[in-house]
Amino acid sequence: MENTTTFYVQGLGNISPQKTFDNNEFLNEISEYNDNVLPCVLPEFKNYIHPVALRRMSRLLRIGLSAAKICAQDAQLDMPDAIITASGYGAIGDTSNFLWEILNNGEKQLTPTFFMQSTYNTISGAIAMNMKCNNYNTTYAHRGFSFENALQDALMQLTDTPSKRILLGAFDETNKEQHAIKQFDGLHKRKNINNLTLFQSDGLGTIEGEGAAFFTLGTEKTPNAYAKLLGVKTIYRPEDAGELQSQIHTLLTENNLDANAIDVVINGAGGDTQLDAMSNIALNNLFDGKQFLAFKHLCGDYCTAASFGMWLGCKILQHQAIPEITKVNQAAPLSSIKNVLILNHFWGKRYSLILLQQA
Amino acid sequence: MSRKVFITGTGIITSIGKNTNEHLDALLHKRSGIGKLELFPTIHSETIPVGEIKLTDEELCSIAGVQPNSGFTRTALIAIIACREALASANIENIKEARTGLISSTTVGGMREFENILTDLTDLSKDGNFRNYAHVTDAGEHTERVADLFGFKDYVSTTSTACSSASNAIILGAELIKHGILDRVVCGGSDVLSKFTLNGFNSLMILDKRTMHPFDAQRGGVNLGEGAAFVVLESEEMIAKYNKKPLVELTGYSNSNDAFHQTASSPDGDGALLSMSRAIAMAGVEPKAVDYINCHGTGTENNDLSEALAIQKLFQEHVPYFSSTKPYTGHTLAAAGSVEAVFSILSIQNNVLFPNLNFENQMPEISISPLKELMQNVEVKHVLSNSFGFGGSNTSLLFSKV
Amino acid sequence: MDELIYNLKKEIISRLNLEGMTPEEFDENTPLFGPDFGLDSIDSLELIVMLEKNYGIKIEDPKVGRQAFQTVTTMAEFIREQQASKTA
Repeated sequence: MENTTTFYVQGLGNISPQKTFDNNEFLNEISEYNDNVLPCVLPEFKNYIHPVALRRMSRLLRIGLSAAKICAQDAQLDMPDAIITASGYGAIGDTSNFLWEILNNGEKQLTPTFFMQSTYNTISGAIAMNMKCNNYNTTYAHRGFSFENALQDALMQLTDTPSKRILLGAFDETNKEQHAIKQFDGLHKRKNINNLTLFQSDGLGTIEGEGAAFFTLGTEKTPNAYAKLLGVKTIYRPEDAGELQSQIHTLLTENNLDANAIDVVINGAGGDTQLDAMSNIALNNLFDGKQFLAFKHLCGDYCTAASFGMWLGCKILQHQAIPEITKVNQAAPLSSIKNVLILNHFWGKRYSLILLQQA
Repeated sequence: MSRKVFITGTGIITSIGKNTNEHLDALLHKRSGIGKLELFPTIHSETIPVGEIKLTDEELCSIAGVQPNSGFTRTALIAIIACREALASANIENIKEARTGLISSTTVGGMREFENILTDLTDLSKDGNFRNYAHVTDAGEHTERVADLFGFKDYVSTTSTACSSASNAIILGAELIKHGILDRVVCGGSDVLSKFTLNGFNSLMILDKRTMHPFDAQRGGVNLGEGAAFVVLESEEMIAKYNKKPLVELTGYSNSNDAFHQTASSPDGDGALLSMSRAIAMAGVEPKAVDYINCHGTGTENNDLSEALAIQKLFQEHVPYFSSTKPYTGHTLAAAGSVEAVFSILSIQNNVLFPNLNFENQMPEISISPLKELMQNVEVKHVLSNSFGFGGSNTSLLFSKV
Repeated sequence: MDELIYNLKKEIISRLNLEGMTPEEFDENTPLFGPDFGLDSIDSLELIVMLEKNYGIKIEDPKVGRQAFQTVTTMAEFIREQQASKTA
């Protein structure tokens, strides 16, 4: 999509398996895990949600709503013109809870709380209620495209109405049953590893993560704007690395850039050498010698993990610095970081591109 | 925005039919699909009536043209059947000749299969055909089944905003066309009956144990249904290039939020009022130009009062004919928005208004009442369709005669 | 304190996750669905299931529940009436 409007990331709120909820920090302390399931480092929920409202909320709902509030506060956003959320599995915890209750109680004496909170749009609805926001409110739930579909929606709205400010976020939570299913299929590792050794491990399967990352998007360069969001693209079942390369080329051309203009490449590799292969080939072909980063050893893999990648890109552009823990190689030092490209994939079938630029 | 969005095809399967024509026939003959639940075991089959598609999974596989037990969930199967009809009805033979998207929606995806195999799936020592259904809980799974079968590649997406999901899929599709990202998009949704949803709604105590009575003073809740429906949205350029005759134009749409309660609508209908008025304003017509409203009308105490109050407030002395068609099909949840989009299109195409079955008693809180009898040979230019859902989600679509 | 009332308070606190609240500071005459307590229709459904599980009382119409659950005192009265009519 060619665009004359400039989109800015005006605020961030990220709750992840690293301590990312505090916007004043940037991966200062790193959490390590040894059982292939990475849970979020949690903030004090009571700082963001009224105790009466908290009492019935599931863990994911608390995480999602808190991340949204952190983001809105960061951007000094009181009334979003749209709330757009994204999740691959939605409230999978409450879904499982209700399912087990049905099975264990023989469909009898069931209470509605788990069920009513099991819908994908529970968090977007809760944010609306919390902020008393009657405006546009929707939720995308398409596996590894959920977050990118949400971004696409936001960019279209901002193109039509540049005065809008949009609160957009993605979330997914770890789930025991889903982890077991993916272990059986080899999508998740069976043998426990330390998360920081993900890319040095046997190259089979990935590790499970979770997180909620929110972004305030608008067309004004606010004082603490983190980055420009130049564009987003989804690529469904590409034939080969050549197709990925040509889609990257198209996105760059639409923004009057070429491969050489990219300073930092964030690769959403999950540590499974087979599933990562197509991304790796395409990126190596196009961006040889550039600074490559990875992030799934920090947050694990999940449908909306690209949102962690976008958070990382925004923080790097704001700080003009790259945390060592994210570096895959040691490229020549950069005098300034201007353009960041994120290529994510989910299960090697759904690929997405997000292009960021210094604000 | 300058670009128009037209609808060129429809496809639908619910308890009252396997295609668009069968639905028109059932609607014209007041044939409801609500009855006893027969196709899966539950303790509620004798007490809770539903709108069930009376075809087994094997029969659906055969109609859809896929192998049984190969991983196609019931949700995916009916989506395939409806999508195939929609493509044929829009005369689309080669998906690749234009930039074509697929946006589906669902609330529980493959829960119907998943709830039976959950225990086995989590046992790493067990293997078998059931593993074909291992990854069916997420909403996007059925969309990809449809996409892969028909070869959709340019854009695949899934919305999930509870009972307004398919309407939001239609909105996204229209926006992608208006922004020149796609030339045409197949939009809709699919949901099937499952223990999960049946027990969920039962635990909220909003299921009517009789046939549902929307907008009736004695209403006692909703009947659940199952179904899938898709509409084909195309750009002006596609209409011109292929010299197509559109069925209707999608002239307005709006999405708003109640910001009131996770499961209940605001009692004064503010969210519904906002979504209806914005959809009509987008079309650039006066509210009084609306000829008919296909209501959300779930038959719950809360929804029907709130929706009726919003209609009264918005249209004042020009309240159009309105009805809920859910007593025909039951509430098909995520698919309701596209099922009722098809009904709205049929209404405009055939100059007919469908009645609100089972209405008997006037609600004391309001002065308006739904359409009781079928109306034929009436000029229907603009039809508004409402879909509201959990999470305070309110979506309205406006369809207009071309 | 009346044993039934005390037990009800404990059960409500646990069922509805009223974190940090004790039966002692829970006034049995405070309206449960009023501004001080702030319960809603979903809590009412939770309490209906609680009554069925703990006291064997089945409520089919949510309106009956809402009526009975005005305060802990009215809830206790409702339980006693139901139990009496069962044994009668």
